Amino acid sequence: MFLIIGKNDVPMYEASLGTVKKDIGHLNQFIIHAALDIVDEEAPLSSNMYLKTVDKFNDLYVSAYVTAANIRLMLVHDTKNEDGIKNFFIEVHENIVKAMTNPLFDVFRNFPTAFDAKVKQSAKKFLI
Amino acid sequence: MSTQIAIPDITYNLLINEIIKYSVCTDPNLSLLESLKNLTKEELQDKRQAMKEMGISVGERIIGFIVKEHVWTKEHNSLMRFICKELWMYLFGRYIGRLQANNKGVYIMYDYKFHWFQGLDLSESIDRENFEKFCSLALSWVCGVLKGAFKGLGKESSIEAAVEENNSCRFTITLKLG
Repeated sequence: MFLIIGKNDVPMYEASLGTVKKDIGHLNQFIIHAALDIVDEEAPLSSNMYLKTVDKFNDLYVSAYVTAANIRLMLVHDTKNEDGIKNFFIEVHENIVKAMTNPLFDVFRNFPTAFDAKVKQSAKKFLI
Repeated sequence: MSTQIAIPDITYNLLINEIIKYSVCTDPNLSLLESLKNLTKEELQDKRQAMKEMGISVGERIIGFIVKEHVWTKEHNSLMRFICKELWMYLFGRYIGRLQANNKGVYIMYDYKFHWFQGLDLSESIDRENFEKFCSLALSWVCGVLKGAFKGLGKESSIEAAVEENNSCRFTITLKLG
């Protein structure tokens, strides 16, 4: 489960990427939102955008990546894969910056479907 | 993403000039100079605000492209230095001239080689007042870019600009503390 969280902690994008074997209702969103506080604490301390694994819930890990505009990319996964996840986050960040060049982006605050396809492609490349 | 094409800043300069012309010349029968003379104070203020908003939109997005390779900095002084170097390098291909700071969050940036108004300055057919009107419109755009850049980094700011003798410009930036 991958979430992109923007200003005021509002989720901008959500995708199931097959990183968690059992998907129990909305548990994953709950886990991610609970981890947001930790991300907000750790982000100013780190000089990197990639914060690695910030939280653990039972046997699930939460990894985070914070951009300059304070957009948080959060991923719930059950296997450790630091390099793969880091590359995935970097690619998604690049796609976000590209999506921002669309003048309509601000108004609708929704990522276009092409973005969704790119995220799934990056996930295939780096996460499995 | 890593392919960066260096565009000489004359391109932005000319494009901004065209945008200003388009915005100011509402009557196709009047020349730019006459339209400038006819602008009321309110109209000028409205147009400056519009240019600023254009700049803010641009600044927010540009900062996303630049900061990818660097890390955001929380400390104001290093943030200002980053802006003076990286943002100016990205837009104009050079560093800004000078940065002054008073420790209360007010910074003054001097750019000694701001060539945007050189052509206009040398023209004999424009008087000081209208020259300043035109400059204020173009500078509003640059202020907007700065404001958008700070906004993209999560900082509130207020920016003013003034053009001075010999191609130099002064930007006064007030950052909200914290």
